[in-house]
Amino acid sequence: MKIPKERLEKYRNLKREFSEEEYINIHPIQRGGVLTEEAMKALIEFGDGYSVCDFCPPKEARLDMITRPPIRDFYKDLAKFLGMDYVRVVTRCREAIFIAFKMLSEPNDYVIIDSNAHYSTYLAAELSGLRIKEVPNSGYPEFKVNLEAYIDKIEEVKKEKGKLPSAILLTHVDYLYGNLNDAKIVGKIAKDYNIPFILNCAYSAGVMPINGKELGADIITGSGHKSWAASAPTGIIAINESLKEKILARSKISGDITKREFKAKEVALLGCTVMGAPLITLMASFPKIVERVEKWEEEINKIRYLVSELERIEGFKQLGIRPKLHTLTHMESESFYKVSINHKRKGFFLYEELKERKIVGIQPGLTKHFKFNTYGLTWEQIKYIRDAFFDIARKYNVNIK
Amino acid sequence: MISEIKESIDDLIKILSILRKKAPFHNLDDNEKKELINILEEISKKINKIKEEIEK
Repeated sequence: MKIPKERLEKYRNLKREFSEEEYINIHPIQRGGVLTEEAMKALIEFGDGYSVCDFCPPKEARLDMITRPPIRDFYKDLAKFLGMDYVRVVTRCREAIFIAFKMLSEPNDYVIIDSNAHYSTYLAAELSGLRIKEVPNSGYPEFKVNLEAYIDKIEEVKKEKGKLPSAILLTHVDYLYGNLNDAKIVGKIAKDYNIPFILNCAYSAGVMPINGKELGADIITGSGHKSWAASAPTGIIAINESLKEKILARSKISGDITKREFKAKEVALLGCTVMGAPLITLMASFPKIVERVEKWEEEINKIRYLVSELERIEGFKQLGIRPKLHTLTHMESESFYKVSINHKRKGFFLYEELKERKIVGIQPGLTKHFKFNTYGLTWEQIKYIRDAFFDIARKYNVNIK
Repeated sequence: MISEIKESIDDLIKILSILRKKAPFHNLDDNEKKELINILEEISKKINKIKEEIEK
């Protein structure tokens, strides 16, 4: 069917409304994915379709075997950087979790997950035909996951099913409160029960130092577009030797007529995964990532400073574990909610006041509480954000201590 | 010529990358201004070379 020319106009010259050059973006999921200069350059060079496949080795035609550009080496270096044995780049962290669930379980098995896990963790279990048990958190205001309760849940499954859960998953840093969990505790429990331990590092690996072996993780999952200064879609699955055969099992199928076989292909990955620009941005940013995780302490200093300043505004209270151990932050803002009740723009006033001050990323319509992330911002930008909030508070006669 | 075009794009990306750190108002100190001007002069030279190549 033919589409009218005028209808196609809107697809030409696409521009982002809030570019990183013009606005300070504090979107909770976007800070760690801001591209490095090297990635921006590589994106132009490798933007065409199958741009990384120019030298795909014919005998082992697989993404992880390509040496020009150096994908094979990158996978090895990435595994080493994460303190793991093998790595594959997939499309998203949730796909990595799905692959792990699928390859480690039988239908109807249980997996144990923390109650702050991302919704996609639940969907990954659902698509794998699994049942879940949630490990509770402490509720308002800290929402701290009770890590020792993984034992109770394992025992519960054992009693109910007569067998252990097929895996346990911990969200290292959750998307709701930015709480950092002590993965070593769960790693030890997993080891004691001999259950594979999946550590979801979507918000941690790539921004802070991670060593899977030290944390006791059997599998680490990560997100390139969330925390590795890479374009979407990019996910990471890092595996230890003990699970390699299960997770990266090779294809065994053959055509009944053609007898075609694909023995080199890894089944759970459906062969090759990210064959172009997103993978290249992940690779191009890697040297900067290796450097930046060493500066994590400074990132924590910045968020703690901003939280302490914002809490000077009447009715502002940081939710989640205190003091902050991650830059993703959930702020309760009762006073701004009260302002919104009588404001003609209702809940949208905060978003619009911030936008007027060239700050974006807070979800439009929210005032009672909101999430933001400061990762990678300069001190100058952090202070500018503080001043903007103070300015808005003064405008609406909200007291600042 | 192609390499000059690509290098010019890379230089412009470098400028964008610097400006990102200075968003939203791009208040540059003297050193940063100097750095950006140097990059821009380099780009000018490359663009002139591209022009010359085309005019040949």
